[in-house]
This record gives sequence, structure tokens and C-alpha cells, in this order.
Amino acid sequence: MSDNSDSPMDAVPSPNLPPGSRVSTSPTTFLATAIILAAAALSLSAVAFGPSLQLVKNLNIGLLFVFGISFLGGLGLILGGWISKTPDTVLAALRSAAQFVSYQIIAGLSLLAGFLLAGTLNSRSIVEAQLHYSIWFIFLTPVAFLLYFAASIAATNREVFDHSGPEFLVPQTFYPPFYRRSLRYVADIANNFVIASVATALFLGGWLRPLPNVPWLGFLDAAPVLLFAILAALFLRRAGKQSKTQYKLRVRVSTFVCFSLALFFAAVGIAGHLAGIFFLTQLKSLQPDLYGAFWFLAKVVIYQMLFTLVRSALPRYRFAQSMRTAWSIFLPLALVNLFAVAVALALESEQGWNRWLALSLTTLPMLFLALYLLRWSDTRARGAAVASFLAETDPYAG
Amino acid sequence: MLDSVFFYFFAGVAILSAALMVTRSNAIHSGILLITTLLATAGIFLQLRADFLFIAQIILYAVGIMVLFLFALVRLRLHVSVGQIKFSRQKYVGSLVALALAFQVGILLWSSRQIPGDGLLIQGAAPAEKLPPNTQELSRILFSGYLLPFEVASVLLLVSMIGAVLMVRRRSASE
Repeated sequence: MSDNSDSPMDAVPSPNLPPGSRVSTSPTTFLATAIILAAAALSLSAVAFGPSLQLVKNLNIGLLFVFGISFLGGLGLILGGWISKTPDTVLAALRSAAQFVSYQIIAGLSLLAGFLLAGTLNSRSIVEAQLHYSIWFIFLTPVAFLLYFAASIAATNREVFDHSGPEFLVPQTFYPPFYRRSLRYVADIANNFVIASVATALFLGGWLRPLPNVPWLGFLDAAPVLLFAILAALFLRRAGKQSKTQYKLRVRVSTFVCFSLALFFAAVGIAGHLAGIFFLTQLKSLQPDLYGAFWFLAKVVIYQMLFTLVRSALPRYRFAQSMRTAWSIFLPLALVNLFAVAVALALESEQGWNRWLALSLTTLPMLFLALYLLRWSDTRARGAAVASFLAETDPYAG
Repeated sequence: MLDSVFFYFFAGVAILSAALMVTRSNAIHSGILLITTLLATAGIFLQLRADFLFIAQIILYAVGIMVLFLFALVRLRLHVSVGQIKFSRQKYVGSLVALALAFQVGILLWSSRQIPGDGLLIQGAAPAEKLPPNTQELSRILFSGYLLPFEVASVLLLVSMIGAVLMVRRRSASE
């Protein structure tokens, strides 16, 4: 530790931490890393990227499988913290596991509201239900989506909610050790991708293009071709401005890839209109999956960008604050919202109410009531805390 | 064929890790082995095409409960104190429970032998590929035939939850 004596590490007593201890090659570390990575990879297998672009088809439990398997990553977190044997890492791993579990519960409850609306767990049927009702579920239960969004930020230990480490440590020190350092980032990105795909499938319409039932918006189908063509044009323009031949080559390769992608999308897109030519009719069967995957990935990317935006725009919550938010604000709201959606669906099916009317009539009063009650209990708790403080330190005691 | 391979694999893992779980002296090792047992049981559920039970087992037991359990273990440094407990503390009660369990399993095996067929208690079970969707079927059964036991179980869970909160509050108030 002599060469980096002015690093923040020395500010805290952590005697058992040898330099470079974040990378460990022990079999248990390998196991912890493997659990986290396998959970992320396995849960992606049931996501439907397009109408038939799905690895495990017709899985009855669908999105619940995706969500539940990604849950397994929490085990890897604890295991990683436990084997590291240094107090900081054990504490950090416990914090991050506790936060992970708390927020996954909230994410699960808000997913349940979406499952209720869809009436199925199958990730393909959920998207088809949104096509059938011709509306994304984000507009039917915005509360559930917002709760899921907040919970997923916290569950992946993003920075608005605690980034699972004490403030005075550099971020490198409180991650559980990984088998390879790079695998940590792979696991992080894979987990984010899983969480974003669940949100995309359930709330954002999966592979459907925006407003799929409005015929005059059909020009949106040209979006992938246009996007890649514009990207190719931009790359072409940049290629002349590069200083080194190496960079030039790189930009030219990007231009070529974007251009061929645009051509491919265009060929597949117009294949439906040009019947008769042999290979184009073959391409036609690709069309729903290819365009579906484009919209799905676009939504995932937008979700990730929102992640980053929120993360950089808001200040960070301390661990205690984020846990308090989870258990005493988000959890009641998620339960109330689930109840409201259930009541609205019952009103719709039993009394024949309009779905929109029923949902807004149940969700709004219940949410206001819940927020009022939360505020009331908050003021009461604060009053009790002040009272006990005054009782202990009586200013007139002597 | 493939079904029985999966079954014996998961059953073997479950039994092996369960046996290891009760013989380890380190509580964390036991906890991880218990997770392995629960995951292997989930694998058996999946092999039986009970996908909802499989995912419920993983979400509730293997992760939800076990993470909190491990949390408590790591936090409380139980591995120091539990390691010192000798295994023979509850010899008589333990053997009594084991005998009772063996008796029950024996009765089950004996009664299944009485029924003609391939040893299943249910006659004419549908092949796994022709079963109705598992989740829907389970919820239909839960909310029709078994509504009362289901509600009683949930009330029991609620009572234990309230009890836990009360105990914690009383303890923290007395401190």
C-alpha cells in the first residue's frame, strides 16, 4: 500500500485489504460471478424480441420466469461479499443484497398490476394483449410503470438510490470481488438489459411500433431504414475528417455496416409489396421479427437512456433513506395500485364499465388517499421522535 | 428417458446437498447448501412441467427467504456460535421425528403398491405434453376447491408477520 498512500483507502481502517484484492481467482469467486452472469443470461432466454423471435417459446410463466431468474443474482451478490472476508466488502454486499431484495419486491408488485391487465404471464401474449387493447400498459397503469422504473434503478444499484457503498470509499473498494474485473461490467449491463426488457415487454408494448392500430402512422415502419441511412450518412461525413488512417478505416466500416443494415431493412420491408420474385418472398417471412426486434431494442435503449438521465440528474440517496423509501412509501403505493387495478378490472368485467373510466376512477382516489395517509403517519412519526427527544433532554431539567 | 435423467440428477443433487447441509458445522455453508437443495427441488418441479411452482419456489424460497436468511447469518456472525453446538443435543426428539417421517413415507409407498398400474396414486394421469396451462389450472384450483385452506394459510402468514413486527417493536422499546 506504500505506492498509493494518498488514496481514499487510507482514510478508513481496513487492515485486511491487500492491494488489488478486487480481482480474485478462487473457485468461490468464480461461482459467485457465474451465478450473476448465468441468472442474467438465462432470464433473457424467455424474452420475446419479436412475434416469433424467442429462445424458449410458449413458456407458460413467461415474464415471471425472466423476473424470477434475474432474482437469483442476489445470491451471487451475497456470496461475493461473504467470501471477500474484508469488513467493507461484506457490509457493502449485505447492503446491496438487502436493497436488491427490497426493491425487487416492489418491482414484482408493480409487474403484478401489468400481469392483471394482460391476464397472462406469457411474454408473447402480453404484447399481443397490448395490440388487442391498442394501448401500451404504461398508459393504463402509469403508477406501476413509475414504481417499476424507480425500483429497477435501485435494484441494479444505480446511483440515485445508494450505490451500495459508503460515501468515503472509492467505488472500486466496495464491490464484491469478481473473477475477472471486466465480468462485473458485463454482469451490470446484462442485468440492466434484462430489467429494461421486462419493462419494454410489459409496459412499453414490446415489439409493437408506436400506435400499431393507427393506419396513417404506417410511415413509422420506415423508421429503421431512415435511422440507419441517416447514421450511414453521418459516418460518411465524419470519415473524411479523421486524422489517422486507422480511424478512417473504422468509420468507413461503420458506414458500410449502417448502410447495409438500412438496405437490408428496406429489402425486407418492401418484400411484402413485391410478390413474385423468388428471394424476396423468402425475405417477407422475416419482416415481423426483424422490425419487431428493432422496435424492442429501440425501446430498451431509450429505457437505458432514461436510467442514465435520472441517475445523473438527481442527487444520491443514502442507504437508510433508500430503504426507508422502499418500505414505507413505494411498497404501500405498489400494494394500493395493485388493489386499484384489480378493482377496476372487476368493475369492467362485472359491471361493464369502460376500462379507462374504471381505472382512473379507482386509481386516482386510492393514490391520493394512500399519499395522504403516508404523509399523516410521517408527521406523526416525526412528532413522536421530537417528543421522545424532548423527553430525554428536557431543556428545563435543571 | 430424458425425463428420468433430469429427475435422478435433480433428486441426487437435492438429497446430497440436504445431507451435507445438516452435517456442516459452518452455518453459511449450510445456508448455501439449503439453497442448492431448494433449487434442485425447483428443477424437479420443472421436470414435472409444473412451471409456476418452479418459479414460485425460486422467487420465494431460493431467493426471497434465503437471501434474508443468509443476511441474518452473515450479520449475526452465527457461524461462530453455531459451530460450537454439538450435533447430539436433540437426539431423542430428532430420532422420533425421523421415525415418524419414515413411517409416513412407508405408508405412502405401501398404499401406492396397492393400486394397480405403474405405482402412481393418480389413475390415468395425462401425459406431460397434454396438460392444461399450469398457472391457470393452479389458480382455478386454489380459488375454487381449496379456497378455504388457501385463505386460512394466508391469514396464518399475516398473523406471523404481525407477530414478528410486534416482537421487534417490543424489543426495541425495552432497549
